[in-house]
Amino acid sequence: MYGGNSWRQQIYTSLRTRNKVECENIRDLISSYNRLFDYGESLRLETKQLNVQNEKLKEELILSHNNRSSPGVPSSSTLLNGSTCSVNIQHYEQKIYKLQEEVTELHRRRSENSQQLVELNQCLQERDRVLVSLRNKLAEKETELLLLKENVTALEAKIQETEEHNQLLRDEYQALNLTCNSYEEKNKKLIEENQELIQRWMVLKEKDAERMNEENEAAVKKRQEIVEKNLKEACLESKLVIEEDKFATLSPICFSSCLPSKPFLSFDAHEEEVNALVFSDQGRLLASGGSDRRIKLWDINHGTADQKAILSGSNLAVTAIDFDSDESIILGASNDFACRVWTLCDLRLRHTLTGHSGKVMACKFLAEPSRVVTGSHDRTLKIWDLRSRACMKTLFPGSSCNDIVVSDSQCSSVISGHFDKTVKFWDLRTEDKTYQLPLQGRVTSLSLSWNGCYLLCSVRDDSLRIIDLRQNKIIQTLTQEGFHIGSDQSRAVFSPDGAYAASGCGSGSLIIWNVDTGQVEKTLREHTTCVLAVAWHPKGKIITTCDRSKKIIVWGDF
Amino acid sequence: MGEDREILREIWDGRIPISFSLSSDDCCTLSPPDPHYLMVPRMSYFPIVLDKVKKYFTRSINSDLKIDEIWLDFEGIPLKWNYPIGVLFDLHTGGKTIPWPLTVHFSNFPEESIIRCRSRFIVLLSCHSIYREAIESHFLAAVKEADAFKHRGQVVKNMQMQDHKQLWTGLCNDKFDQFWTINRKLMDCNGEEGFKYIPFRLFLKDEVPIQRLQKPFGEDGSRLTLEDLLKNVLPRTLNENYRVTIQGIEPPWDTPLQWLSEHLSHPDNFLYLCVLQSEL
Repeated sequence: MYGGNSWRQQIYTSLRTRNKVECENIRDLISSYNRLFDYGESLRLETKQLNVQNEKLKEELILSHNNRSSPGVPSSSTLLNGSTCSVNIQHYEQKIYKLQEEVTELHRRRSENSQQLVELNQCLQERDRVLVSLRNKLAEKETELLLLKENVTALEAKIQETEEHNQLLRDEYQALNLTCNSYEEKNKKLIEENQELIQRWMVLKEKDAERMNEENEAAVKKRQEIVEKNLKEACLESKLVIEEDKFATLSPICFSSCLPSKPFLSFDAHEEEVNALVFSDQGRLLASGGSDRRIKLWDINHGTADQKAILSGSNLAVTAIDFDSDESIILGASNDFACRVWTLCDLRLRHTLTGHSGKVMACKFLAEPSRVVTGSHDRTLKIWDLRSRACMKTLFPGSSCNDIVVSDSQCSSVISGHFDKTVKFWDLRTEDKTYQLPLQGRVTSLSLSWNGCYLLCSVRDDSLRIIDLRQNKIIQTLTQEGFHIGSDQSRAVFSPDGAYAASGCGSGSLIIWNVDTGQVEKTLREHTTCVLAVAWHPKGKIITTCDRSKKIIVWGDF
Repeated sequence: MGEDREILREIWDGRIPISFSLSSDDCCTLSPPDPHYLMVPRMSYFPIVLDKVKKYFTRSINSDLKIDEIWLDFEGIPLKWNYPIGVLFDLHTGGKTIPWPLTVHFSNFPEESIIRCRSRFIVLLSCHSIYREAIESHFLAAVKEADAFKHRGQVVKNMQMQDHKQLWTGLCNDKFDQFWTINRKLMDCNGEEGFKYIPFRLFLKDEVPIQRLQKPFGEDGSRLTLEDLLKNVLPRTLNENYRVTIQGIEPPWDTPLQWLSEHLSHPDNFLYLCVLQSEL
């Protein structure tokens, strides 16, 4: 039913061609090959069968031969075939001969072989020896190798170590380099800064110089103006000015001292005990020195304690103070082995007189304000020149000095009170001790009367002695029941008119004696601790006392 | 059923010359044995035709190698014994190499690429029969599968045991009439109705064969052709470098599927299509 279709025809033809290509061309070849193969196979089989048959026949033949050659059993066939037998024998003999030859040949070969064997054995032994020596060598080499390996490992370890060291050093080097760099940078910066600062400084300097010039010019102008003004004023009222000046420099003269009966001021002056208390010559200022290393200046003339100034500079407690006669310089002795000089106009420390090797206990101006005498615990007195700021003279009293007074107006005579219960008199011109007056106890303070004739000494036997300097004799002894000198630094004073003597008591009371009668005029109680120093106002109306408990009391009747 | 004996005969007579040579791995003689040549039917299977080859090479292989471990390769590719020889030939050579040179191996069986041609449970039987039995059962299974496609398995079911045997012996002994008297029943298509589905296997080189349900007629009753099948089945459209062969020929693409299945099927009733890249 599909017969007419073209695809059927196409398939059919392609099948035909396929078969033609794939089998018809080669079919005959393969079939002939197969035939030949089968034929070969069959031939091989046949050959095999024939071989087998042949072998069988041969065996049979040999058997029959043996039967025939064995002599004991002659068979009918041997008899029948004698001629063939002899031929066989001949044949066998030949064979035997051949075999014998073969045997000899083999023997020869054997001997040759044995010869060879011996040689080979020798060779082998040689080889063995060589081998053994080589083995020994090898062992040696191996041990050597081991040693070398150990060496190598040790060296490697060393190398590693050194490498680590190196690394460490490199790191350190790097770190140092870094720090170095940073420092260099810093340095650069600092140099720049420095330059900048120098520039600024220069600018400022220039400004300063300009200002200085201006100031100088201004000062010159001012001075000229003042001079002109002064000249004008001088023309008008020169006489009056001179008189006033004279009056100002003179010490006030006290005609009669009054004994105060009550304290009118009481204040804490210092932070610790108050050691020294002095009025200036004109009485305008009161100076107090304390263990708090300060000197304070007070004005009490107006009924109040006005603190004028604080002079600092001492390194230890201030022990003594002195004003010069025109109130321009103040002197302070200190426990720090030095004596200091301040100017009062500008309150500045001008000089520090060092040279003592102990506490400085006393200091006084000599008549000329450029000379100072100090007394020290190191058992010397020293004279200083303030202009050259040097020690001019050293006196050796041989005992610790507690107080000094300068006796006459020429200031050639100095009196010092000592720990060895003596009062010593010195003449500065002869540089020698002129006289020595023994007392009954350690001398704690000296005070000179207004006319310079009498010396009040407070002595540690709880009495005050009055010495007449003209006779060098004790003319009066002031004592009192309960009077007790509290320390080696207790200061007693004359009243400005010389009629009274006042001293603080260890118990805190202030006792005033009449010098002429030797009687106690007044006992004033206000202090609670030991009174260390007493100062009488030059005008005679006020007494100030200080004690160990920071306090200063001003006595007066206002 | 329009039987076209002319075509069927041509197909049946398809033969391939094969040159068998022993693998050098297995050869134990000094010189390798000469190759053995055979004409082999395209429709047959290797296990059926290898008896002579085995016998020939037995002399040349080591005695401890098992003779039934035989397997073949072409240019290093192991051949699957369960496909008809013609299909293998078309697939691997494109029908061009004549004679087909194959290498025979008796060792290093490539388990991962070929199933063994025998069951482990019947080792005691002679090698010859094992081989035959395995391929016979495989062949009959294929026939049943194809019939299941075509007639829902009704025809095979109605056949008797001896019919099955006759199919197999007809194939084994290359007897056209013996085979076709039985096979005719399987190809019966109830007049114009045609098969339910066309049993076919489509081979792409180096890929798993494709097997789909494919009706011989379209929804509108028109006859489907080879072109329709290829369009349905192929994963990608073919360019001109490819060609489709059945039984070693390239049928025109307008050939009806029903006819193809009836005439160009292999004895196991499957239509084997090989898609080949043409060597241009």
